[in-house]
Amino acid sequence: MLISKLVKFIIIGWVLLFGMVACAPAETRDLPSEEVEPVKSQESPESSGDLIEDNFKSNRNYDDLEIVTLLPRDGIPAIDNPKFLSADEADDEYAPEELVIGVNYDGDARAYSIPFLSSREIVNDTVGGKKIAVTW
Amino acid sequence: MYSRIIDEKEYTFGVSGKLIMNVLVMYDRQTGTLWSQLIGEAVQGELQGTKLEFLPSLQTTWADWKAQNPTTLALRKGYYGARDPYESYYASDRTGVIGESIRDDRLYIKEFVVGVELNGDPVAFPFGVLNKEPVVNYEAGGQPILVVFNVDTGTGVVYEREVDGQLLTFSQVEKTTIVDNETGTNWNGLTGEAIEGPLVGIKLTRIKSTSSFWFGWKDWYPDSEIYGLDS
Repeated sequence: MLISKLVKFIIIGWVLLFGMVACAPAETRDLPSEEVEPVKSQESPESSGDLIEDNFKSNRNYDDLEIVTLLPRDGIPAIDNPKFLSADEADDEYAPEELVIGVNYDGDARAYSIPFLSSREIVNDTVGGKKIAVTW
Repeated sequence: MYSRIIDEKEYTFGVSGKLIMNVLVMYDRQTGTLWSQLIGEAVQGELQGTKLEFLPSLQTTWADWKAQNPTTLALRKGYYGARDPYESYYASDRTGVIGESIRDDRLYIKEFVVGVELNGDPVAFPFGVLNKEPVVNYEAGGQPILVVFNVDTGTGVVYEREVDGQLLTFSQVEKTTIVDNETGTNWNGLTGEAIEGPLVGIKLTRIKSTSSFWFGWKDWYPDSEIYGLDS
């Protein structure tokens, strides 16, 4: 899903090139908060489903892959120590229709704003004892 | 969503600044190996060929997530608002900075798809098709699968259709509530939990899937079948 970020790369690349460090975080305005019709309460999931999987080796051929370097490593900083808001506090920062990636492992539920992930790409987190990488 | 544990060892990931096939790749700070987030595989470096363990997650709206998970926490954003800085990009015809790696006009390049790859058999389910058919019984790589789509939020989830050795076929009851034709059990299509009927207590097994732009998916899987188009 990260494909969308290429444009950002260009933008950030320019920013880096010209040394215009993004110290003036353009405050993106909130979407007009239209009232979203209340969502019918569903069975609260304890987790988002059981899963089969793996750390097996793929047999894909990687030799022909063209790699393009657009930015220095960590030019976009991943989030290593994420801070969280309670659901009610988050209503101030999250619009009702804002897209999120949600996880619920062993009753530890967390939401990650997709617009925000668009700017940071990766969150290294621990949820319900699981070490996870939230990627976008 | 991936586990950061590989062979019982914990890894952390950062943004490599590199693109492969138009898709941003990440690196792990322990070995410097490059990883594709889209397919969850190490593509260059020490761990090349290793797959990350896929973990289930849901893409939905904040209001919907909070209603389903009242005790949820939410990542603090600080000054960031709700607007996606790439909103205009989604609607433009531009793809990546290096253009499409492989041209394929079967779908509009910016169409979103739910992508599944099983036993070397990739299938893309376009959001446009899922809007009309939100519950799909299908087969990929010889494995019977179920795709459930929430039209309101653009959430796509994929499950195994075999439960305790029994093959089930599903149809929509209302929204994301589904019923299997074999036992008459009602299921929550987003969590996979049986909510009413003989199979209550059972949960469907999730299958790894990715929501992606079509052009990103087909660059990685140029031979991908497109459900509703090829079939």
